[in-house]
Amino acid sequence: MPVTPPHPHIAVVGSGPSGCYTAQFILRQLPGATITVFDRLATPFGLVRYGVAPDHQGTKAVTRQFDRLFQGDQLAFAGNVGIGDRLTLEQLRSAFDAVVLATGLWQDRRLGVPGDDAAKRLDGVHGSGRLTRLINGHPGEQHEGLRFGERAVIVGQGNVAIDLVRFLTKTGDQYHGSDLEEEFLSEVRPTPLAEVHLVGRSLPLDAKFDPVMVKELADQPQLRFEIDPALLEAAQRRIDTAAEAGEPLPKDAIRRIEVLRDLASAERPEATSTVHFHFGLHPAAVLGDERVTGIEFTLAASDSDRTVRIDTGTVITAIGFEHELPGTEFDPRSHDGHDIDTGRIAPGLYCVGWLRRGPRGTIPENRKDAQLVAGSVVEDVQSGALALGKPGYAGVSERIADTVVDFAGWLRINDAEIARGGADRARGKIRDHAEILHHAEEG
Amino acid sequence: MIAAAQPRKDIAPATHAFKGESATMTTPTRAIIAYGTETGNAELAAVEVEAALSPFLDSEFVSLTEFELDRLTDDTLLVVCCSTYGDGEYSDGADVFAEALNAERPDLSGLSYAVFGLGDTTYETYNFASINLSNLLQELGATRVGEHGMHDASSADFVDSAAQEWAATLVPLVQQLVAVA
Repeated sequence: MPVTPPHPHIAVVGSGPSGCYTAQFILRQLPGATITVFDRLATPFGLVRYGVAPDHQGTKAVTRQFDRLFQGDQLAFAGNVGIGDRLTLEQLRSAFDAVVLATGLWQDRRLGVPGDDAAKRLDGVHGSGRLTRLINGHPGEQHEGLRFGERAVIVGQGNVAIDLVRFLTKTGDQYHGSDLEEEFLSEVRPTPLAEVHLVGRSLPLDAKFDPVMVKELADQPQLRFEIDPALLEAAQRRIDTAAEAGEPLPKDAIRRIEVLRDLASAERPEATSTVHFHFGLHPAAVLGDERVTGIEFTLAASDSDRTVRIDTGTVITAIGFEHELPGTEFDPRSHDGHDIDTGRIAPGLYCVGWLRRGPRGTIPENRKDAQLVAGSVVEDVQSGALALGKPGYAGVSERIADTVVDFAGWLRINDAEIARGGADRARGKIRDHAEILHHAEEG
Repeated sequence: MIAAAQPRKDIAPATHAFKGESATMTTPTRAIIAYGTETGNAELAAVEVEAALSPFLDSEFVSLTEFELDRLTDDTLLVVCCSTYGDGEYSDGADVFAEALNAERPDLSGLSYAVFGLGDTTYETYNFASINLSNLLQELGATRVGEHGMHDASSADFVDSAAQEWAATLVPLVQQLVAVA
């Protein structure tokens, strides 16, 4: 007798890469499943749309996979529906057999030093996440009053920091083919900055950026680079000593030094901006009364009281993201008996991606994470651990019918944005929420 | 490090192996479409290629992470879809496949293969992985069928459409072969 495949109704909260990949992996293993991906925004794809740099369109092209899924019968998009706002998490859990939280982490971590701590963030100190959203035309961010000067200090040396170096120094025509928020560039950063300081705690061998990201900086003709040669020589000595001892350092670390040496040795007479790499520095204080006037660091690797001070009107923090609602039901660790390792946080409730594993890793790593958590959901459906039979989307549709944007609505927004992009841009993102909703409407 | 860090510039133009240019190649009776992917894009390409070839050849779709070298028999057309990751590196699966080929150095002189690579021209290592893998297969004696397909993620073309178009150029070669066999 043929066995009927199970027909679970599954909700995913958050349509970024982790949420979409989770839906993709579940559907592969449970062909009878019906999945709705909710997003508080009217537009899908989360960090692919609002986090990946606008001049990395190749990375954004991953959405093609999800386009196809959303146009099938088993996966639906329910945009403009904030969970905890339009619907409570409780209502969602009563309607769906399983709920997967894929809401990410988006609140910029502060430095935790005077001038940028929980009590006070001086004017002129900006989080990298917020800037990245602004550059990407996020409807929830406003840039009024924001304007960069000649010099900026970026604290943090991860890939997001490198994205920002490009943003601070590229001219508008170097953004050909991107989906850069045009107005933001002309108003906030009318001319490329003369000086960008990129400051990290780690020494060069352990710096956080991927070598390929720094190599990409070498392709920017407007940039010249300043790196302390003594630090690179010290790193090279460690590489050589380790190799002689038969215990070579990791490939990425060696590659990192190679690309930094290439940058340092490049002759750039035509360059208009200088990128200063600083390694081994801990932030000690952001200086200023209301507005930032500078930032002070201590040497990480020394016991001395020596400090390094850089005068600047702009400090950008790129040291990671944290939960904006710690301790609430949207924080996985707030649930008793959670099993974060498998993504199970309560019966029928799961978490995935940055929300589960912290704000680390690129799209491929979060795809693997999605595969893992999808496996937990599938296992619980197949083992009978999850009692099926809830109504699914039909159980919430009436409550959100007046505001929800479905995938067809998104495709209409998409068409409008591509038309706005013209010949020079991949798309012209619409920032105004009401205008987005207007385009989502039929006819 | 990748064994061949620099891809050869002299990639051979399309081979028309079914017209008898390879003395050793055996006529394949089945196809294995194997993918190496980081983001799933190469897998999507492989889905399209499989759909195009399956009407003409007994075909199978497999991740390179699970690929066993002893499946490279002479009656197989191997179709590799793989992306380049990071600083010119092999994508997940393609890395272990290349490692295994380098370690075991099997004689592939009877094998025919086709390759579709994914890359991003934002980086100078565009399509390094598929080029290196293709060179490695040729080094071991395999004969390439059709053009070395490539998709640029930074272009306006969708990867699945590009894979469909490439597979459409492969189909007549496969049909020709089936007619011969």
